[in-house]
Amino acid sequence: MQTVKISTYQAATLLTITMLATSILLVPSNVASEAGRDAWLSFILGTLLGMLTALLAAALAQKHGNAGFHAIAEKVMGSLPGKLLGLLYLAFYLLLTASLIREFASFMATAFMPLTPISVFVLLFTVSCICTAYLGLEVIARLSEIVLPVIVFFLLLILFLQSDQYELSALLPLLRTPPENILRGAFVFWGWSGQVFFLLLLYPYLEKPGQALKASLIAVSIVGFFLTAGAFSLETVLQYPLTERTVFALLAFVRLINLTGFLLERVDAVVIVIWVAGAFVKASFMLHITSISLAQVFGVTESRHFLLPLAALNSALSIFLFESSKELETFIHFLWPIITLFFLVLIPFLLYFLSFPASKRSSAPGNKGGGQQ
Amino acid sequence: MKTRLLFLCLLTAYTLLFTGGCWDQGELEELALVQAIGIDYLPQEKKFEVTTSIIRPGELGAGGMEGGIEGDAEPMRLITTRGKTLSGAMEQQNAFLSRRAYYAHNDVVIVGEKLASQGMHLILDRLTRERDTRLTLNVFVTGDNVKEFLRGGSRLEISLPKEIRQMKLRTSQRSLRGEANLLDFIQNLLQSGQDPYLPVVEMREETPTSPREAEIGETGKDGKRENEVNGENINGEKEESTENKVGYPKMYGTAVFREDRLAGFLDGYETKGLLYVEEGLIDSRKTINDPEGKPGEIVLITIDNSSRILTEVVNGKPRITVKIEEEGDICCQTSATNLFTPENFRRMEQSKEEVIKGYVKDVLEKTRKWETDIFGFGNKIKQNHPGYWEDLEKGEWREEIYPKLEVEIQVESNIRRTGLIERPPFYEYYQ
Repeated sequence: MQTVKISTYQAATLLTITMLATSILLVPSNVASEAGRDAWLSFILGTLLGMLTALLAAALAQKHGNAGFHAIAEKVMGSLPGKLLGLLYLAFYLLLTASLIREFASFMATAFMPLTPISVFVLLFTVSCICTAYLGLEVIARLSEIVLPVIVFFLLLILFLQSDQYELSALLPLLRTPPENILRGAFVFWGWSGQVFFLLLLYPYLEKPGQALKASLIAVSIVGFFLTAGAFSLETVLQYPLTERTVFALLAFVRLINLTGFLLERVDAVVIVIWVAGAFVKASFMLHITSISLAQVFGVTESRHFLLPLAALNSALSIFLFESSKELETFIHFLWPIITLFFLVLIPFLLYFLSFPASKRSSAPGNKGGGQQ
Repeated sequence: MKTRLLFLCLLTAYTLLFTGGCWDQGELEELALVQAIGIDYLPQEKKFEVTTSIIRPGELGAGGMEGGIEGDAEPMRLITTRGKTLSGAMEQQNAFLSRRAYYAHNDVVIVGEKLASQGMHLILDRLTRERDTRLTLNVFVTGDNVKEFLRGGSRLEISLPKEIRQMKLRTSQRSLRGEANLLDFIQNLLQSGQDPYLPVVEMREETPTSPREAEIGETGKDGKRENEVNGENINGEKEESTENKVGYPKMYGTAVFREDRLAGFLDGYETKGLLYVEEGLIDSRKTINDPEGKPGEIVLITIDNSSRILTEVVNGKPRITVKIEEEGDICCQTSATNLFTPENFRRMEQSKEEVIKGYVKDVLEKTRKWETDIFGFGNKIKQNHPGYWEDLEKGEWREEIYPKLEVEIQVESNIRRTGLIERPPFYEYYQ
């Protein structure tokens, strides 16, 4: 069954989109409200934290012969606790996907189509994602290969188009934000850069698992570069107190583009391209991950059957979980980093820690954890 | 093959769902394109008065195809409404419209003096929160009646809003007005240690520029005409004569704010002092006396200027040094002096430096009186000496330190070229 293989490059693009897609639009204003003028430093720190997460994920996988996360969990913790942990993770994936879909719908409704009910965005978006997820990981990976250059091109374009507006003195006074605020900002960004953890789920499908760490580090670096450059541009063009006050800082930034009067202005659509393309690939990927994890936890061979109910669940959750955009914002800002810390860092670290004695035991046949797999 | 075709059809139908715009679809012919908004505040009634200038769909577009606009057809329509809030007043507009008022293509906002004195906070939120206005909006302050102002005509462009927009865009010559849009205003407002300013527009009533139009407008024969020429008005003919007059926009000067409240106006000449420090000055002319003391004057043009604000805190007292570098050419001379000598160049440069210093000092004195720091000296102090800045109390900078702040202005001025002639054509004649 597992003949699906993706290349190192595809893994890198997929992980990059997973981290970049939603963070570029949502995170800058949240980080700015914590770290103020020094938000760029938070992003650099957050990138480093993301790299640590990647190192942890790669170390964990390599310890267990490049197995996927759920296989590792069952191997280390034993079958039943492993499956229970898998269920917990399924809830986490659901939460992530649901909030992602809601972010997409909320953005479209706030910034472009206020009269359209968000359930319409949710439905249309999820239906497209089901189609993609149904075609499997290879298709999603190829899609990310196509989409990422587009996103990167447009991001570079908007940074370039505003380059004459940069006012470096707006970064001053440098480092007057209390260090704990900068760390809090980094922590908020970690909620996204930590998603490099999904590398662990890609491991069984990699052509060259040995290069997985390289791919993930490159992905984190690209994301870190764009978020830091974005924060830098926002601080110098939109400037600090205003960045914090916007809901979608990148959108506010793009709306300022006004080249020589009316040669090139109103290029907001660029943000839609970045956002829709990125969120679409990410949501398809997440939907796929949820379905294969579900299949793995329950030992089902065909994971595609889960797609439709999962998508329905996701759409419903995305609408019911959050009353308003304020709740969504609070979730992203305060709750999500903690959830991330728990699921993407603490538990993998625990598994890594536990796997030291377990790895010795697993080499002996008849072991409880490894034997049943 | 058939299923494939079916799938493609479904895909197309599905894509159409996305691209139709759902509930938010809007057609151009269903929109009333607002080209300028005028906002003023009526203190007695505590109400906003909003005037929008909307393109009349038939008039503008048809121009090219049908051979120009007919004589008296107005390209714009004005609607004035009132409301307790800006948003509320804007809603009232719908009562007069057959189309949806569309503000996204508007980039001229005229703010009345009364509103500006009440505080710009009354409108800033509406202009930044909703997605139909942009931070690049051009905001102007006018001392005139906003409604009357928007009723004015245009000289070179097709309509008044277009003319104002073009005036603002004309970057090749800007020396008489402060340069700021909504974003600059908000940024300056949000930076502690800086106060915002906005360009000023005013209206000047004139008889329309074409003399033919003026005569057509006159109803009476000789008697009335004489009266009008003499400026006298008998038996209520005043209405008639003012009807002939049309207000034309003039962009001149700077409105200076203290926080978000209007503190006062700088005229065009005073604005130069601000622009020299803000590096915004292009194509500015200034007049100096003849370097050898002969009768007549010399006019110099500024081609390029740059400035730096240096700060230092000595013994707990801040000091500001403004370094202005300026260079330009000679553009006119009415005295019969040979300027083309090293001494005269040096003398002219010196007197030019004095003139520039004078400009800056004038503005400085005025803003000190108003307690508003439009140069952003406080902001620079905050950037360079954050420790000192954080010890200040709220309002201390503006009220106590800025009015007595030690400011040194250093100008380095150069004259690079003399234009196409070295000595005036009448040089020998007046020797």
